[in-house]
Amino acid sequence: MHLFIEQLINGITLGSIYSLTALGLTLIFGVLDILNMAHGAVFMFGAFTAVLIVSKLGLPLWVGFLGGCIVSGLLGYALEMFALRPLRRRKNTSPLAPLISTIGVSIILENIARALFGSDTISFRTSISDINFKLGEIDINLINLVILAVSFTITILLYFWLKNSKSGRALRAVSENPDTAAFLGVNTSKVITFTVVSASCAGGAAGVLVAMAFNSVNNEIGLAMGLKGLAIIILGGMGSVNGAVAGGILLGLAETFVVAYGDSGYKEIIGFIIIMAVLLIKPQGIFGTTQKVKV
Amino acid sequence: MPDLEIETLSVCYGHVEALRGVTLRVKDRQVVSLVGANGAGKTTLMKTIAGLIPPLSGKIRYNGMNIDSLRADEIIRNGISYVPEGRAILNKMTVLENLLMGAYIRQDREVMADLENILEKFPILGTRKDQLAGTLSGGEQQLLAIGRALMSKPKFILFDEPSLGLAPIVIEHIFEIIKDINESGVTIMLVEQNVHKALSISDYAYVMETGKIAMEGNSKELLYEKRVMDAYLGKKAK
Repeated sequence: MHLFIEQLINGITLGSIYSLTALGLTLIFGVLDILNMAHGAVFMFGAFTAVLIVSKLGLPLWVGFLGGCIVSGLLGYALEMFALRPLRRRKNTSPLAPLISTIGVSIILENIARALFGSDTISFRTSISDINFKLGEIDINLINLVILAVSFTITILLYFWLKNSKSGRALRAVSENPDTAAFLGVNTSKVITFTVVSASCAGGAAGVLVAMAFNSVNNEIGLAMGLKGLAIIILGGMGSVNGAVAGGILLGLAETFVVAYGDSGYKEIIGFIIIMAVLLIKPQGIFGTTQKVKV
Repeated sequence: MPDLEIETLSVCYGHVEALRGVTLRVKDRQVVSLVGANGAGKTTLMKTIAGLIPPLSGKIRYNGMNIDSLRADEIIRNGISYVPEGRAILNKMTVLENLLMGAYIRQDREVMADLENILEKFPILGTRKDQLAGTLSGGEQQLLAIGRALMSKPKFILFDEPSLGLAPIVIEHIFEIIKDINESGVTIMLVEQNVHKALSISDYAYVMETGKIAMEGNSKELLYEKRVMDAYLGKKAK
């Protein structure tokens, strides 16, 4: 039984990071109707930044965490300014253009990462990496608790900000109908920039947490995480905040339990098996809604 | 004078020149209606005034100020509110949240008091305030769109086809409300398919045909003008 509970904690921890990653993707999809293929690369830069700050500069973990968020946020700003906004300004661009543009940015960022950080896995030991304690029969890693606390805090803050604040409402309005938001007085361009930057910050935070969880970082986690993030928002329902959170937790649990009780070889594909199963039953995703067209 | 003046306005919608040199004037505190057949360019004109479509050439002045190059979010800050065709309710938000979005541009402390007033004025919205707006009926959504526009405390409201798709009794109610809003000092520009209704509540009217103003005059006089009907049905005015 205690093994099950340990795995449950591991699964939720991993899942909470996935949720945070997917949340950024789903917010950007909401306001821009595009898949941000550069999200994984932004995530990876957050992770690398934290590792450099903590391991190379010897600064405390929280500084590394903040640094990772800030660098990712700045990359998000650059992404919006140079890759997304110029395309929105033009008339008659293909709806696929911003998607291709984000793929371009992700390739550029991955090459920069290779040049800056090399292609080896860099280990990431922090002051809390090796602290374990027992709660009855159950072994608990302190780092898992920290990750859980941080990612849930960010997720919950984001959730209530979206639900209850004036700016959160404006973001949801832009997400549902940019023209309507605009004639009600929302500067949609500002809201979009803000969304891309904060989604990238959240992605960077998730990157740092993954580096903490696995005690290492390499330049392949970006691509892997980007794809998982996409899988999660398809699973949860495109643009749905609840879907991103639920989908992330579900994927984290599934991966952990497959490794613990099944075959670790299935870890990377279990998510996609779940997606196929869910989409067969509910093609719009768990929390997805079908757009009703009114005449 | 806080009039809305439009001068030789031309607008391209896609590749089509939807408006070709439209000139009109909406005087302060009047109700001015704009009638004409489908495709005459009425909605394009409303969207252009609201700042959603940039004009190709021509001038739009409000309160003596040029507003033709302003974005939609700047137009409403100048006191011009928009109730679009099809109502454009935010379906995934509650009735209350839609009304609060209406007050998005306001910073004052009376927003909550005004919200109470709207819910009192439109009791059906009060009983449904926590419901998702997408679940409302067409008539209720129209009330919500009007309430949302009022929440910005506008001086001028653009109404695009407020009666579209509604039952006759609901239409009566909507036109009563529009008259009330005007009597409270708000200038109104009204686009309507329902020519008779539009002319009966407006002071002045313009008839549009294929992107141009074909006729104009006092509404009461236009009511008996046969050519208005012809224009509405898409026939060439002689």
